[in-house]
Amino acid sequence: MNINRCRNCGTKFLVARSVCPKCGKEDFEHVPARSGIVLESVELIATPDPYPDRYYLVLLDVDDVKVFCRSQEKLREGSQADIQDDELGPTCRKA
Amino acid sequence: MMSVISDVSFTRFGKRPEGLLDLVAESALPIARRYGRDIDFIVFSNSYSGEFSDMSGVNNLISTRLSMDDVPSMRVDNTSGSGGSAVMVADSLIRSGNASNVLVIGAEKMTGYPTKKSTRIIASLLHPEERSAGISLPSLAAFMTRSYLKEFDAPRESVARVAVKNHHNGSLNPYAHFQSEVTLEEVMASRVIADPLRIFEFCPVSDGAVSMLMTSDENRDSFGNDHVEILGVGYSSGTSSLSYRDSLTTIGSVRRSSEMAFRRSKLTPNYMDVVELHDMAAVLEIIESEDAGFFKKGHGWEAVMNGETEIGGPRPINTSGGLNSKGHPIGASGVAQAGEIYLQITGKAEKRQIKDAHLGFSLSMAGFGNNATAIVYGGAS
Repeated sequence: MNINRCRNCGTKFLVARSVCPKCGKEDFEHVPARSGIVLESVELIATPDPYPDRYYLVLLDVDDVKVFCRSQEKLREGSQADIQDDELGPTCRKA
Repeated sequence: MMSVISDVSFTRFGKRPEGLLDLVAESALPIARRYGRDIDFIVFSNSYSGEFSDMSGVNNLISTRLSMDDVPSMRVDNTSGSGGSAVMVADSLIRSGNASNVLVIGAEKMTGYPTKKSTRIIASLLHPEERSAGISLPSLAAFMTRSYLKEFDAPRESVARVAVKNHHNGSLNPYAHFQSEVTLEEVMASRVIADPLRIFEFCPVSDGAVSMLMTSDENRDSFGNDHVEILGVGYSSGTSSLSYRDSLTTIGSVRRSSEMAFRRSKLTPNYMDVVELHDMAAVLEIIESEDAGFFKKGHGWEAVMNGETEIGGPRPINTSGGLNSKGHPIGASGVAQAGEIYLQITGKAEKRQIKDAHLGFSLSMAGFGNNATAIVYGGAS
C-alpha cells in the first residue's frame, strides 16, 4: 500500500488524485505505508464478494493519513500495526 | 414559476418476483392512464439496472414499455441519492420551461443475487484504494456508530430505538418491505452485521418502484386537486474519499444541502411537520437529523430516546418506516421520500397520518454522504 504525497506542498492522502487538493499542483510521490496506529476496528460479519466471510476492518493512522485494512484478529485502539498487501488488498496485524 | 407534485403511485417494496420493467409499469401505469398524453418528459431514477438486470439505456426501454416512445427521457444515476437528484432534475426542467409535465419514476431490482454479491455491487461506489481493504457500506455505518456513541456519550440503545420506531412506522405503511414491529430486545438480540450494528438496524435489500407526476403551479389545475409544492431544493457534495474526511460524526453534504434548501424556501427546520431522512443504517437518521438542523450536534440521540421523532411526537421522522423498514430499492428511495411527504401533506397517509401536516423535508443521500439532495415541500390546496 502506498500513500500519495504532493511534491510541492507535502499534502498526503490515500486515494489517487491527479490534482493536489491543497495547492493544485500535479506532481506526486508514492510513499510505502508499512505500519500505523489503530484508530478503530470493526468486526464485519456480512462481507462483500470475494472477501472472507468474517474479518475485522481496521482504521489506521499512517503518518497522519487514515488508511483502511483488513485483519483476522481484533487490534486494540492505540496499538501499533504492520501493513502488508495480500491478493485482495491491504491487511494488517499486531506489530 | 414553481414545480408541484400532483400525483404519486407506489408498488409494494420487498422481495418481488417481477423484473425491473414490470415494477416500473406497475407504479407508472396509474399515472400514465390518467395523464399519459400530457407527459412531455420522463426522468428515471435508477442506479444498478446494468448490474442486477443486465440492462442499459433503460429509460428508453421504459418509455416504450409505457407506449410513450416519443417522450424524451433520461436516467438519473446517483447511487442511493438518485431519487432526490431525479426530483431536482424534474424541478429544474419545469422551472426552466424545458418541460411542462414530468413523470418521475424511481425503481430498482436488487434481490436476484446472494447478499455477498449485492454487497459487492453497492461497494463499487468506493475508491479502489479503500474498497480493496474489504469495506462495505454497512461497515462504514459501524465506524460511524462507534465514533458517535463515544464522542457524545450516547447510549447504544438510542441507535436501536431508531429501528424500533421505524419498524413501527413501516407496520403502518402498506408499501413497506417490513410490515411488522420489532421490540428493543429483538433488535439488540438480532444478528450482528457490522459490530456493533445488528441486522434490524440496517435497511433490507429490496425491489420496488414509485412514480410521481410533477408539473408547474401554472398547470396544476389540469392534474387533480391534490398538489404539494417544491419550495426549495439544496444539493451538495462532500469528498468521496472516506479516509480524507475529518469527522465520521457529521456529513458535510447533508449540512450544506439542507442549509441551501431551507435558505431557498425561506423556512427553517422548526417549521417542518414531517421529515424523511436517509436511514440506510439507523445511526444515519440520528446524524442527519442533527446535520439537517433539527437538533443540535450530539443531541439527536436524546430526541430519539424521548420519543420526539415518533408519529405523534413534535418532530416526526421517517413516518414511512424509512429505508430501515420501508426498504431501500436504491433508485426508488429518494422518490419514495417525496412520495411520503406528498401523502402526508395531502392527508392520504392513512394510519400513519400526521395531523395538520403542511410543510415537509426530505434528505436523499448518495454513497456514504458523497452527495445529498435536500428538499422542502409545502402546502396542500
